[in-house]
Amino acid sequence: MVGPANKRQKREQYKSERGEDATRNQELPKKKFYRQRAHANPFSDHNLTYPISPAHMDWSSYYPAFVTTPEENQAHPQSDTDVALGRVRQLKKDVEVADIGCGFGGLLVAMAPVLPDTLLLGMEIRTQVTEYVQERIKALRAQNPDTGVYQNIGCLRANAMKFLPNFFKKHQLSKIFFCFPDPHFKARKHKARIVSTTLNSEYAYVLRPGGIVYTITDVEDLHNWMVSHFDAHPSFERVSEDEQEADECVKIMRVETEEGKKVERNKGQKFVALFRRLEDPPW
Amino acid sequence: MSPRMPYQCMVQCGNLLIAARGSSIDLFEDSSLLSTWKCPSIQAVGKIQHHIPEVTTTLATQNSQSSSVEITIDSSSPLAKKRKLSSSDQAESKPFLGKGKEKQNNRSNAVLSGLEAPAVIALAITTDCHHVIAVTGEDKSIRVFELAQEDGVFNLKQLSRRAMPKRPCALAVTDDGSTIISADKFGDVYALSLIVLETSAVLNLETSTPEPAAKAFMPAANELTIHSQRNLKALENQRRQTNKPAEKSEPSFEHRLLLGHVSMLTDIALVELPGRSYIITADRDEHIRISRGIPHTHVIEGYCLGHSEFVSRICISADRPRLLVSGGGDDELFVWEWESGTLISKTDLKKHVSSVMERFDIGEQSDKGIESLKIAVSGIYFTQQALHDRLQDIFVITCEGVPALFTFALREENHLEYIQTLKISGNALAVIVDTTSRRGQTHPSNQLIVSIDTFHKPGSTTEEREEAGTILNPLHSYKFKEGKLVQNESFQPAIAAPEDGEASTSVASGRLTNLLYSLENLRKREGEGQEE
Ligand SMILES: C[S@@+](CC[C@H](N)C(=O)[O-])C[C@H]1O[C@@H](n2cnc3c(N)ncnc32)[C@H](O)[C@@H]1O
Repeated sequence: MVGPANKRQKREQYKSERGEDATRNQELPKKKFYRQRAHANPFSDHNLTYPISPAHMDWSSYYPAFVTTPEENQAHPQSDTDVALGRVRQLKKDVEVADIGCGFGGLLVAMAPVLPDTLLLGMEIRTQVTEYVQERIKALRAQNPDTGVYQNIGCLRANAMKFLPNFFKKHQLSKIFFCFPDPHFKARKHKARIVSTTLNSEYAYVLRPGGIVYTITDVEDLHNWMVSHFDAHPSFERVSEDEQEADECVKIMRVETEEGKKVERNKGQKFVALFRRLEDPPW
Repeated sequence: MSPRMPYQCMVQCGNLLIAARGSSIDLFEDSSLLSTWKCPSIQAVGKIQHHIPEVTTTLATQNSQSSSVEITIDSSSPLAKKRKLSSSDQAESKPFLGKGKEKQNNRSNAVLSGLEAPAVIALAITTDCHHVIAVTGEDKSIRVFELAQEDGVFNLKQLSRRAMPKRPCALAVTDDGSTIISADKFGDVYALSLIVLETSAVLNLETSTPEPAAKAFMPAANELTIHSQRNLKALENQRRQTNKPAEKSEPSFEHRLLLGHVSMLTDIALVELPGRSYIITADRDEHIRISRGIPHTHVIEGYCLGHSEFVSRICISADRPRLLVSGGGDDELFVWEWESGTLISKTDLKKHVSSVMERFDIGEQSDKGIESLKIAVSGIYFTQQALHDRLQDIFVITCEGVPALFTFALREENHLEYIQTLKISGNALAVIVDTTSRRGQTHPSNQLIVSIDTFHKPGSTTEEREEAGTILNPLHSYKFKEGKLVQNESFQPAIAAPEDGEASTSVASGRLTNLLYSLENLRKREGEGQEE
């Protein structure tokens, strides 16, 4: 079959041309060159790269506009890890919002102007899809050189089911999004679901008390699953419907995610549920 | 005569030593063998097999009294012979293959088809020494034994066998001896009561997961609820499978899910600090996780992050319980102040291992030189010994396939100082450090019992020894003198002579390598799991 080889060639050609031609830096990437088989196995090793610990993470290339100046560096003494790694570049603030399984990045792009002073990170396990989002952010930044908009969003490749604590410190995040996660229908594959009793403990670890978990899906059964698992977890409580509907992020999540748009076109249902991270019980 | 099976794991209580070889557990008092428990083959457990009617009583997990029939006091009893006989009968017929598409290697096929008994892969003992807990690997079972005295002789009486959802990798028992904590291959940690209550068969299913017990297989969605193409496809696929047998149901005994990693767990430690209890878990993905103890195990207090290869062993300093020593596939040992997740120090281990391994032809690795040597820490044991006139915290380290013990002192400033490499006559498999006081004695003994690999050449995990005809002693004893280990020549355990063909019938050599040396396999390989 000529298909795959040909396709790969075209893909590579497209990407190298994009990379070399500086005049195209404002041009949004074309999705068709970044498609990838839908399901990635969250249990396999995938040649992932991830920092040994949050202190080892160098965020500067993801949020260049938020890198501290040398003077600011003076004011904030470096951590031991920074010194050990010979690093001076730090960010003015920490990432606070994570979009887990961000797909093609619709939520990030829509949220960027809404939370201009907050750093948002998309985490995606598929390489091609991650690359697409990174190119998309680059192009959007180039299109808006003066306003500074889109400087606060970034995307990296990660298996969020395994390595969240490598990227985020305890209680670092204020919001975590799970938008249209893979449903993994078969009972045998339920352990592959991104929401589970045991994983919820990890989300509680990276989320600060009072922080919010946002979930949306078109699969009712998965919605029920997510609700029952967060409800059953002592670190979370469901956010009331009033509060949910008043949250501006909920609107964005419904209409701006790529999956959300698809469901819209098919006139399907969308199930939303929000959960608040509670304080840990006293010892 | 074939070499006898080496001991892969051991626990001890006072002068009783409990040591597992293959699928048997030997019980020693001082250095004499008292009795042997043999694990029945899986077929014998499940179905009635006419060759060995004695062993076929069902090991009902609900009934703690009726299942104590599997003990054979001595390995040459008619029972054992009969089992062998039936094994060789079976060998003629085609081995039955594991059901489903789950891939089975030859070794589990042999076990699952009843040709071989499942091997003991972990042991634990309650602090009161009344109960021994064993994990048998291929049937994923946790077995609880009573350490019972009959006519003045101790033996192991099996009280229960509980088949877990996934294979347990590491065990711990709470200090009060009431609860077994089991960490499994899929990253989950469960709590089980030591004694299976009569009522629990009825009251069971008390898992903290809200998922309903697997019911009749029903598609979890319909077209109305699904709108994206990939979800539709998934649903179609699922429907096609509807006629297949239902998913395995949850075990019918009480087991509580405490916490879970999305990774293979390798070790677990329970720690008590004043007013606080913790569960510390280590995994293949370089993590050491600190969770609160029961009943708040859903709270993750922190992580100790610093390893760049798998973590295989963690050990708390009993003297300074706020410090943790960890090791795995990295070249160094790590010391942590684990409550805050602070890495205190790293100490090179590889250079000491290298100087031992230089003497051996280490197969493929040898052309690339000793530099390419990879180490996998298989044991970290704590003891206290007098050195320079004061008590010192000492850690004894073993590595997979390395015929030596390495000792380090944990100094006041919380770093490990190398003391000694003690070369031994076979790869170190398991170590007993006598920290518990003996019955009637208050001070800890300074004795160490080490199990060595009598089957493979020292320094190799695959090549068999050539010394045919000689029976090597699988257990050795060492004593600390002035903080250094010296051989304790007076220790001569009376070990039953191996039966003919013991090693090959009870565990085939490939399976033995897997049983004794599984840690190095945890190392991630370049290019593995690569997506297309
Ligand atoms: C159905 S898509 C939804 C994409 C996006 N959130 C949206 O709403 O348009 C689910 C995404 O999650 C990603 N994913 C699945 N498991 C993941 C994991 N363990 N870590 C990070 N991403 C994951 C998949 O690759 C996929 O792109």
